Amino acid sequence: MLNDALDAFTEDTIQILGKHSVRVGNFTGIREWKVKTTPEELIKSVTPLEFPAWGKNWTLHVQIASGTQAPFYPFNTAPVPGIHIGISLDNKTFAERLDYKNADFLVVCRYIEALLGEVQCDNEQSLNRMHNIDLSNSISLPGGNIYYYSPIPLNQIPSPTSILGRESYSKEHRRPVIIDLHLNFDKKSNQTKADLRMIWKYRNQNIEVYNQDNQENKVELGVFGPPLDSDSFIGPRIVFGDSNNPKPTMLSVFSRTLVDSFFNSSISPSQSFHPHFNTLIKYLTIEDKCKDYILYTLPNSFFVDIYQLKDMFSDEQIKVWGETDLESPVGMTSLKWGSLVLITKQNSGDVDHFEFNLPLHMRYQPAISGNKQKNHVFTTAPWPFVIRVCENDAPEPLFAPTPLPLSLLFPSTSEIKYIFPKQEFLQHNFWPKVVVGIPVGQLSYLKLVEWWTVLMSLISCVWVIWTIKNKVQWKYEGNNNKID
Amino acid sequence: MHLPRLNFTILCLMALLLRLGMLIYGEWQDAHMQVKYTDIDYKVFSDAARFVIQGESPYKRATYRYTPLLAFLLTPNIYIHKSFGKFLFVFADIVVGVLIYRILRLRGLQDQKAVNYSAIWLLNPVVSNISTRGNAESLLGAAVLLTLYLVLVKKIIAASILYGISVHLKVYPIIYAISLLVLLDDEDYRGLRRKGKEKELDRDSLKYWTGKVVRFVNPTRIKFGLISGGVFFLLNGIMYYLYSQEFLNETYLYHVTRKDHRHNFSLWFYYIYLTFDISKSSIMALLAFLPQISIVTLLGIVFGNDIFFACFVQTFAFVIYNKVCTSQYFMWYICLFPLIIQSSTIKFFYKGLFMLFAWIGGQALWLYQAYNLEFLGENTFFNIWLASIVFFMANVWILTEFVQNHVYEKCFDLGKIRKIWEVEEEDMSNGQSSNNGL
Repeated sequence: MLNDALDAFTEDTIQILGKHSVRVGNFTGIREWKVKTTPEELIKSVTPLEFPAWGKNWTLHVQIASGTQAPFYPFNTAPVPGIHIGISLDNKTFAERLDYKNADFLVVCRYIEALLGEVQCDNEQSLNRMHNIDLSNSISLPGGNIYYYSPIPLNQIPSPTSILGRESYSKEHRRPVIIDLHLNFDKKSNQTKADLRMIWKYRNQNIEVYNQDNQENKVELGVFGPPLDSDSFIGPRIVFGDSNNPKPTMLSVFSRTLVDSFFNSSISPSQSFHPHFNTLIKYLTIEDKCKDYILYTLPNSFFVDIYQLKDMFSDEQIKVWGETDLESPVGMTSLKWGSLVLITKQNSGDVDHFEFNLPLHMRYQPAISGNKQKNHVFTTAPWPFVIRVCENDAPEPLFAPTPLPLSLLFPSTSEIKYIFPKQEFLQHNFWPKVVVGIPVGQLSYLKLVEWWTVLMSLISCVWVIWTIKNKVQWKYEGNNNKID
Repeated sequence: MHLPRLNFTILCLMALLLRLGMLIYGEWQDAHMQVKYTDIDYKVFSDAARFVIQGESPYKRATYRYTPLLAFLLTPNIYIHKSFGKFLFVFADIVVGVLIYRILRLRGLQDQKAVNYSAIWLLNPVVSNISTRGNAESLLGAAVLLTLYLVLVKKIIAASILYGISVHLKVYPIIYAISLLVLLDDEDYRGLRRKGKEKELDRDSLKYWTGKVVRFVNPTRIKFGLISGGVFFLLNGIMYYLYSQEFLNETYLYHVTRKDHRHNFSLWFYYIYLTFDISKSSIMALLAFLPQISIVTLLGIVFGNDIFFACFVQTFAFVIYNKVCTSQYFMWYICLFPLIIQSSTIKFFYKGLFMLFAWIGGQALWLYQAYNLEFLGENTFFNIWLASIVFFMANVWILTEFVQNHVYEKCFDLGKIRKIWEVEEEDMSNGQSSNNGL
């Protein structure tokens, strides 16, 4: 069976070009490039800076996902498009001093700056850069985790001169759809580790893979597909430097998706300061020892009123992390990037569907200048993750690592399965989002408003004082002598 | 207008029943309907009280911007019943009504009229709705009115203590300091007449005014200032000791430096929103502040001896000129309104009615635009600002009408309360007409 399967891979499909290079022709699918190294190795290629030794355990997880967040069916789903940064420090949070005066936080920031570029690590740093990542706007999650998210487009970060920018360009002259990096320092063994993974998507393209960097490292290439059954893929595997004959290998992939279950989200009204984010899930199966969740990622234009939610739902049913300020407008520097809202489906209720209506509120937007016709600012939020978390040990997912922040919220030993939106909402492989129009003030009116406000105030002041004066005079002239 | 004859005790019972009915209805609505009866502020108070019981700062509750004293007062919300605070506010409502009646009677108003004017507060559905929803304004109204009552009956020490507490509870009663100090003079309040000497001096002479300034500092005023100031700073000291800078920031500094970018009745709202991110010139900051402070001060100085009218118009002016103006601020002067009606020459039909329509109509116009903005998401910012101008000017007109048509009557003469309306009532019974607002 294996040899028969290998027949599918002709010389045109996979060509050995030399001891350290292979071409895969007319490839359609997903390519994953993975390397295990150390942070020091990763960084030294780019910057001569030496970072101080760590005194504590820490983990840094960076994920960058492009706008085309296609689910890598049947493997997994991808993170919400944008940049995700998860930081853990020795099971304690930075929360009390999440600023650049905290030495540990500053070191982590410098690492991330070297990795991504365009990261602000100084309060006095120029904020004129368009796409600054400000880690002091991160939010605290349970277990001592910090999480930062920004929807900055992938073509701006990582910058070409940054470590990840250079690595991705050295492998392929275009951006990956996913960059996934884990850095870890274990104080006990005094060892650091770095796992870097990049994923590209192709359609009918030739790929050439070279291994000329460090010929002592083991580099493997495997090409798998089409699937044998729902779990298995077969294809040839080559180890560079060894025998160049491809060997057949079977790959087992556990489906991460709940087929035949789907959900639909919407926001209503689409223009209001108090919309509702509605999610309706249709299930085919229910599993014991599993719990279903909805995770909303809300940029800070949106917020939930935690006191309102406390009145409406129990603490077990709903959890909120991140920015919960009820009053500040968008643009206040003290605001975090946004918030996460995790809904736990309760066991009671219908088994074949679950509907949840999340009451939201919109922050005031900064007034805009220019076109008087532009009355609204449109702000977006991605559809939520709808997941089933089971207590089984799950193997490391292929081709799409567990998206942040799910990996920060659920134990690594959990198995996470995804319910996707209905197919009609996944057009062009873009993850759907909701859009809300927020009325916004217009700076073109500022002069008018300023002048008339002052004028009204002064005119009225004169009017009132004149009235009081007349009243006093009348009383005085009446020799009443009652008002002095 | 002829209102049915009513005994004050029965009036109070009716007011209590009205409020109890609304409380019971409120509990039902909260339990059965999505739109809750209870004000969001009440939940803020209760949450803050809960934090206090847990040994934490009440300011852990977002948007709790009051003295910790209020949270302490409402701790029974947590360990007795969640509606304890509402009962407290209802009680304060009744106290306000009783004080209105007592003050009017002390100033010589006939019993039935005093009952009728008290009914404006006690049987007012808006007022009872506000307190039964859990808004604490009636508590402050009671504190302010009790201060004025105690001044009226010459219990200066008690009045001073209560005044210090009032200002600690909320900053705005500080504006009454001017009028109260004007009231507490030697001649009228204390009855120490300087016979003859004033008339000899030319009122345009410097000596006359210098003498007045020197005589301004008298034992009563000193006592009042020291005691009320002492109580205020003592309470602040205790709260600062317990909660440090957070207490000062949230209770006072927030209200003083408040720049509310969100829509509210204030004339200044849209300007503040548009310039939220822009540093403004100090001239603009002054222009926002100066009309308010100058008018409030002038009204206090001019009408201080007619203390109830002074407090009413000062509060009215303070609210309309404030940089932030919300509905609950109206309660601050509504509780004083029944005390000035009798001294106004405004006839309800039709000028009074027109003033009422202007006041309500201005709000309705604004609320309509605000609803479209907030719930329908329409861009009505400019319309809201125009509506705020209309409401502002309507209120300024109302203020000038009150001033123009007020029959100024000093509260005291030769150390005694002037029963100003008793004379009028005697005249009425003798067949002469009287100035009558209603």
